[in-house]
This record gives sequence, structure tokens and C-alpha cells, in this order.
Amino acid sequence: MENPRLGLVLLDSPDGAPRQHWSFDARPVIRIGRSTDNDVVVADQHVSRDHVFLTADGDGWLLTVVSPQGIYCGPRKFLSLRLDPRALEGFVFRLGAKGPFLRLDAQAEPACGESTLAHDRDQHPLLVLDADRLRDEVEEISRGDYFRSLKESLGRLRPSRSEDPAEP
Amino acid sequence: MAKIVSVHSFRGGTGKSNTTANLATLIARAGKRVGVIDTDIHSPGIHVVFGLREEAMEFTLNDFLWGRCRIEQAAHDVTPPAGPGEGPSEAPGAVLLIPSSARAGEIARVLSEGYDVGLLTDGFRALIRELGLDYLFIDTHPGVNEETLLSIALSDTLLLIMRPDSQDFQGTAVTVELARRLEVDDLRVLVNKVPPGMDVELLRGQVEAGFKAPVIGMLPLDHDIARLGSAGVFAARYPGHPLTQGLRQVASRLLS
Repeated sequence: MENPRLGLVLLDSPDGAPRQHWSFDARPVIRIGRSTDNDVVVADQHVSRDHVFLTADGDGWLLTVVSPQGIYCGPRKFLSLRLDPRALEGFVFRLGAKGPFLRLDAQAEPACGESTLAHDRDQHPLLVLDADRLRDEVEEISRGDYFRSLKESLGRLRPSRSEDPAEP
Repeated sequence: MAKIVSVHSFRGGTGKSNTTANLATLIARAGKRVGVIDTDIHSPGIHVVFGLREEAMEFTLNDFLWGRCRIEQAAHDVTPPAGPGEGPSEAPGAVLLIPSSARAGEIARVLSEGYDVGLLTDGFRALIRELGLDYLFIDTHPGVNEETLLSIALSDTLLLIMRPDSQDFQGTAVTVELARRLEVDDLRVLVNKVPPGMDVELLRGQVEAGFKAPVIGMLPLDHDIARLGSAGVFAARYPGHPLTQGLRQVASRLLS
């Protein structure tokens, strides 16, 4: 499946001047972080080595944050977010609470002098589970404040279940 | 006691909204009152499958979350009319949809301001009570966020929809493990969009062994539903189609 072109613009403030610009064609995933092996390398102390992955998801994009610093849209912190194509253009998010801002630019033209990266489809064998990654992701989410508070309030959230008579 | 069924996919494009709309319709055909709530507030879509136009929405879930209406006021009767070959339904079933707003401004407001996720808990309960529901289907946002975790925690049944694809498999495994930690007892997997020629029994075995959860159905990648392009509820349009028969089996397993 051909994914639409996506541009990213680095900003110092949400409506600031563009500092740097990337454009990607038909990429299933765009990796953003401080390490130089990312697709979008942002050299800033507030950015994690691996910070956020953008995965093409239908006609939208899924943002999966792999840094505990999160991303911020306004005052809200997100660890996962699906962006509908209608919300894509001009969407601005911040890398961490104090990091730089990135703006998405769905109609981006390839920037002059930059190479447009092509999509290398890697062929995974069917249904392989990475147990280490699974454990890490589950641990990270379950350690979160929201998950813990949810777990503590299960009895109140599901009163019906505790009232149900036990199965004979 | 009404049953809450959360329908979740780790990634988009699994056919979650289409499947939810079809299962809700088939359960309503069996005489049940079925509520469907679109909590995919960042990328709403299930209203399209039910043919509910934006102009026809007086209130949406967003209005409830901003305190502009009671949640039952956002319910729209979207019960699909009987298709060819289906007799008029004698049973008093209905599908009542609580859509999320598809207006860009409303989506942007939710993204920038957020909302009190806890309001959803009260909303679900009020819906079941005020609309006299037998089932409430929650169509969730893909991935894992506060809304999806809450929906999972509240559900009696969690229905996970995945394609036969390693990324779906890996992601769904995360949701399965989180649901176990949230003490969801009834967890089922629907493998959707299975391409022709794939060894379905091998696939079923892999999924059931990987998740230690039952596969409730395996539905084929189907050109006819793709051609319908979300412009209707497939099972209502094509009641005799093999895909509808597969969906009907899944619906009857959810009912039992």
C-alpha cells in the first residue's frame, strides 16, 4: 500500500519559524529521536534517543511514543495517538514537556536538496511475537499513573460483576 | 443485566468499525436492543457505516463530554432496514448509535483540550439505563490510551480484531496482557481479512496459543465488503452472503 507523502517541520515554538524540514514518501514508519539512526534526528537535550514512531495507519498516522518524556499537544501528554487525515495538516506536537515542536505537513513537497526516502518493505514471517518487546511495552503501560488508578478502582467500575452470584 | 462489549484493534484498518456495525445489526435482528458508542473521538467513523450524516446529528458524544446534553440525547436509531430476502423483523431489536463528531473543529478541540475520561463511565451506565439496552458495543480508538484502557476495564467481553499480520499480532498481544491485568474474564479474538490460500487452522492455532484466548471467528478478506466501501451495513445489504454467514456465527457466539 502506498502511504501518502508526509512532511515534518521543526519549530522552536508552536507558531514559530521553521528550522528544519523533512519529507517522506510512502514510508510505513518514520522514527524520530536524538540518535543519529532515526529518520528525523532532533539534536536537543529534551529529546530522547528514540522518542516517537509515526506508523502509517490506513489513511492516517499512528504516533507511538517510546520515550517516557511523551509528546504534548497543548497541555496534554500522550503516549499513543492516532491522527485522522482530517486532523493531520498543521498538527503540532512537542517532544517532551520542554522539547522542540514538530508540525506535520501532509501536502509537503520534497525539500530542495534533500533526498526523498523510499519505502523498503521488509518481509516478516507470519505472526512472530517478540516476547521482550511485549514485556517492556506492557510493563511501561502498567506502570503509568492512569493504569494504576484504573486497576485500583476496578471494584467501583464494575459493581455488576461483584454483585453477580457465583456460578453454581 | 446489559453486557458491555468493547471492540478494539491495536492498529487501524482491521475492519473494526465495519465489523462492530455488522455484529450490532445481527444482534439487533435477534431481538436485542444494542447501543453502539464511538469512543474513537480522534478519528470517528462508524457513523458512516450506518449511513448517519453529520447534518443529521443533533448531539454527539462530544456534546455530552462538554456538558451540552445528556448522553441518551446523542443516541440515534440507525437500525438498518431489512434487506432482500429478510422478512420484516418481528423482534423489537434496535441499533442505537452514539456518534463522535466528525467535524474537524471538534476533533481539534478534543486533541488540544482533552476531556474528563471519567465522564465516559457515567455515560455508559446512563446509556444502558435510559435506553434499556441489552448490549453496549464500544468502538474504541486503535492503540492504547486512556479511553481504550477505561473501555477495556469496563467491559464484560473484550473483542479484539486483528489481521493475520505480525504487527497486528504483536500489538494485540500487548492489549491481551493489559486486559488480563485489568481482570477482563471474557476475551475473544476475531481474525479478519484472512487472504485466500492461508492455512486458517494453523493461523487459529498460532493465535490461540500466542494469546491463550479463543478465536471467535476468522473472516475472509472479501471484495464485496471492500466494494461497499463502508457505505452501508454489509449484513443488512447482503443477508445471504457467505461473509454475512460468518458474521452471524460470530454474533451468535457473542449472544450465547
